[in-house]
Amino acid sequence: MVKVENLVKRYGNFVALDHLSLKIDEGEVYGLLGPNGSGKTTAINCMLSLLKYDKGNIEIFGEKITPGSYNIKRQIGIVPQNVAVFEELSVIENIDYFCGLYIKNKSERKKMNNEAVEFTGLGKYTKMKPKQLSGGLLRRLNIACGIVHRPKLVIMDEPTVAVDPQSRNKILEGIQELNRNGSTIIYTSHYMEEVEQICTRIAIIDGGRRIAEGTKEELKSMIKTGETITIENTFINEKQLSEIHAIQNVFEVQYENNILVLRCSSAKHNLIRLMNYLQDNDISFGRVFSELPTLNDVFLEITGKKLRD
Amino acid sequence: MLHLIKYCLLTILRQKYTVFWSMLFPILLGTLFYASFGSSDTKIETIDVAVVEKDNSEMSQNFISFLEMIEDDDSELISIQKLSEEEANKKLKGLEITGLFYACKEPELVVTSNNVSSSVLKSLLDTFTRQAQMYKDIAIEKPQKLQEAAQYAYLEFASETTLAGKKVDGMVQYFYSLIGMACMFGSFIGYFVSVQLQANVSSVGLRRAVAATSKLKQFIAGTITSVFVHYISLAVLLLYLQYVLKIDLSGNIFKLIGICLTGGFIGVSIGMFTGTLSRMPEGFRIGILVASGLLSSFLSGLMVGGIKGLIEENFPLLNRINPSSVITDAIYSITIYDDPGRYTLNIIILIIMSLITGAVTFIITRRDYYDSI
Repeated sequence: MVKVENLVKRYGNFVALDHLSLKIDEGEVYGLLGPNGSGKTTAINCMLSLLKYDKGNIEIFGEKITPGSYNIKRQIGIVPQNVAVFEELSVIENIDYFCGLYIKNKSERKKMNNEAVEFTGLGKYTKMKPKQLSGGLLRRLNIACGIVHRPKLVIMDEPTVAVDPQSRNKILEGIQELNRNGSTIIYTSHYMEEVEQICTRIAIIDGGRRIAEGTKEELKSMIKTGETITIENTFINEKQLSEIHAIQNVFEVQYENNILVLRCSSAKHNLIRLMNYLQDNDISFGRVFSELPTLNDVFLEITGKKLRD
Repeated sequence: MLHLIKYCLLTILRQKYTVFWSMLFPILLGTLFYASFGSSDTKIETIDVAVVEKDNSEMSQNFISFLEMIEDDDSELISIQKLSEEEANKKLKGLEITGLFYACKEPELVVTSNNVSSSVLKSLLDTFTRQAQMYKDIAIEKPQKLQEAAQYAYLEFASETTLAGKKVDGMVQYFYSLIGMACMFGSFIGYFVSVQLQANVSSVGLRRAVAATSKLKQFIAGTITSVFVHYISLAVLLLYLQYVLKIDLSGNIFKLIGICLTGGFIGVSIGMFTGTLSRMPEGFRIGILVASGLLSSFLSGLMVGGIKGLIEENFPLLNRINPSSVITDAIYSITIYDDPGRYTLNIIILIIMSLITGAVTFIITRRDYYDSI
């Protein structure tokens, strides 16, 4: 459905996109995950033929997209990072206005407006102006304006920025429902939890380059970390620290502020082995927990830096 | 298109600062002027002018009769003194009179400064010369029509005297400058519409740029709506000045509308152009709008009555390129000078300005790709 090949975008000497290639199939929720400034929004703007790019090729629905590709644009919905609605128009007027940029028939438009209102749960707020809405409702209006014309491809650029957890969950559920209803979604975010929750396939971007791509399971299997064990309120000396490092499958040890963090390769009984060591050496400890690898671990291992740095 | 126009209209009319600057502010300022200066019925200043009879030719006598006819008119536009050349020059140097007419085969005018009064005197001379020439041409080409022409010529003299003999109320020029300013302040409407069209300036612009409706169509709808709203606000201002404040704007109403149509378009397109200056912060761009509108109006005489005349004496080009000055001059040419040539020239200048600002804005606004967003 979307094919991006060797996309290069420069701002002077700064390379924003460095031979970026992506392939998104119909029915996917495709996540573009990367820290701020990694090139996600630039890639989206190039795909929408807003930005000039220096090199590469972009095809959507099998055709090269240009600013005049209205037949392609008719099938695309965009939910920009910043809320893009008219302050002067009410909720329903905004939805109707943006629907009218795609749909000429008034009665058809009215039906679509109602569907979008229902889908985003804005029924009680249709007469309100954007200024009167909370952050979460405003984001929902932003989504309603982007999907009201029932696009086949929805591009969402960090749609949950500055949204409370409750509204965020509603938005994420809505995106999954949209996907179930047949829309292909491109979802950019720097929140790995969101991407993990809803995306069927993920590309990790850093410095304008795709550094990894696959399902979340595939991505996690690419890295060494199989389990991260954290032990709080514990007191360990240098000698004990090197003994812990020597425990089977442990390949990285961090000890700071009485918190011990171990990274272990994927294997059985890592936690039991560690507990046994603590008991044998009479080392006291507080809370203990074990986590499976996250996309942050994937990012950390591949780039050497944390996703939210 | 109607869908686009409908919502563009709603957004403009609900935009507080746009409504204030482009619609309410000129009305408020007009009311303030009225409260400060009083109505336009304030006692007029009659122009003192000397007449020196240089010869006893027919043309000389006709010219003196013409001037006497205007002096006797109810408008009390001029007061003539028949003096010797020496006395007249002395009074002119002492600023006791505004101008000096030489009545001879080719009547002449001498003035010491370039202001509204001297323009009126020049206009009187032009009117007489034009009519005399026409009368002469008819006498040569169609002498049989001479008597008939003489009647019309007389009627036209009488008629033109009424038009040209408008009271030179010094206060009215402030209201003319106010109309110029109101035309310029249409820039706020244009600015607002332009910002909402630019993907690199506003989020709404971005969403509109990727929609299935062409940018050209959206640009045209935005321009039509903003110009329409501006014309309505100008019409409201003119009606308010004419019928509520009783300011005499009684030139040819169609000519006045012509001025507002071209002047208003310039205001809107300047605003649209300012809206495309994406590298500047919004506050700075709005500052440009306010400052350019007020400066342009100041130079046309909105705050200081004689400033336009001063510029005309020292840097006349500025009066030709300042839209507010051109607008006020066009209004003078129909309400005071009765000078169709001057009116036409001003309208041509305004149309050229409209075309240039409109074209530049159009080219920038409808671009397809952006370098950065």
